[in-house]
Amino acid sequence: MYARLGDIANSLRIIFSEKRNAAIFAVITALMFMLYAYLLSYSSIALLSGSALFGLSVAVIIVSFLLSALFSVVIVMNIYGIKRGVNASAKLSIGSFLAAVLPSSMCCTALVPSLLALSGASISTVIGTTGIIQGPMATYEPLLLLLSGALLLVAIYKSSVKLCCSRNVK
Amino acid sequence: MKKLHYIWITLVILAAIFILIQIFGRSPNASSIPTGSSAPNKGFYLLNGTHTDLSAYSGKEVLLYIVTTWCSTCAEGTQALGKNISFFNSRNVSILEIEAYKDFGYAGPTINQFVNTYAGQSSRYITQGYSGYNLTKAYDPKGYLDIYYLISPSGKILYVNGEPSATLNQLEAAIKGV
Repeated sequence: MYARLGDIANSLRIIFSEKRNAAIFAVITALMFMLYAYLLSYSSIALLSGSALFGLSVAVIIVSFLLSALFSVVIVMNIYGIKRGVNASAKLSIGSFLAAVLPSSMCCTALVPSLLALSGASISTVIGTTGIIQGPMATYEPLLLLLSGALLLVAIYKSSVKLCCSRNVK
Repeated sequence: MKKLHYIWITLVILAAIFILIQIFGRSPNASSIPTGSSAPNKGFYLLNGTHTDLSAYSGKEVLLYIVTTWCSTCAEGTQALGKNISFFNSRNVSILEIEAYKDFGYAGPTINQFVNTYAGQSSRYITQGYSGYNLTKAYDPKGYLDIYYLISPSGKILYVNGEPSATLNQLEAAIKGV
């Protein structure tokens, strides 16, 4: 296990020794932080603490930063790996992203009822069905955020092992 | 290069979600009841089970706030109303916080638990109840998780919006303008 942790550290050290990769990481982190902060500001974790910066709660800032940083690491590792012909873990990053943003984006917007209405559902169906779809997402949103973080960590681990063990890594 | 497609797919999904949210929006900018029209007199149930309707509030300025009790935005909205209750009291605005019909199909906390949790001590100034089907159908046919109507003493719709935590300034301006 310690050897694997060493793979992670070694992979990250090699990847971020290149200034280009560090710059990509910074840009993606900034963009993803804005998106996560926007979406999570309407989530249940926003209720965990008071407003801190620009109306965002401390909990939202911390969670948004962590998820955006982890997501950016995965993206940079994927880009690095692709250029060296190494199969990275992009699918996990997609799953993680969806687990993080879907609950918040679908929970408290009119997206679900609007889609139901567009599909031809009657008002009574919209009123009776919206909660069945959005309610569980709202209720289990914190768990989904934890899942998102876990998926990202797994993606980083798997990508690190592949990159470190690849003969292409210098 | 095929693997690079996954990254593009991720970014496209990201952009699509963001765009969809902007299109469908979070705040109900338009409702089925335009401002200036008469507020439909629909019924709801008080906490003690008594059935009443909006005509009982004739002659009073009313903030009708329809919520779903599992919705975090609704919780923030209730918090905002609770924190600013002195403003509403000073303007003699009666706040009716009504749970949408059957919480839109997913049972959350009771409206009483919900308001007490998020409005705290201010909950005693908020009349709570459960919407009948027709009230939800009339005031929230698009299924917004929260939507509020400012209704004049003569029963006219003065202002419509959602998410009081984000639109409180506009609501207060609308009240001051009455």
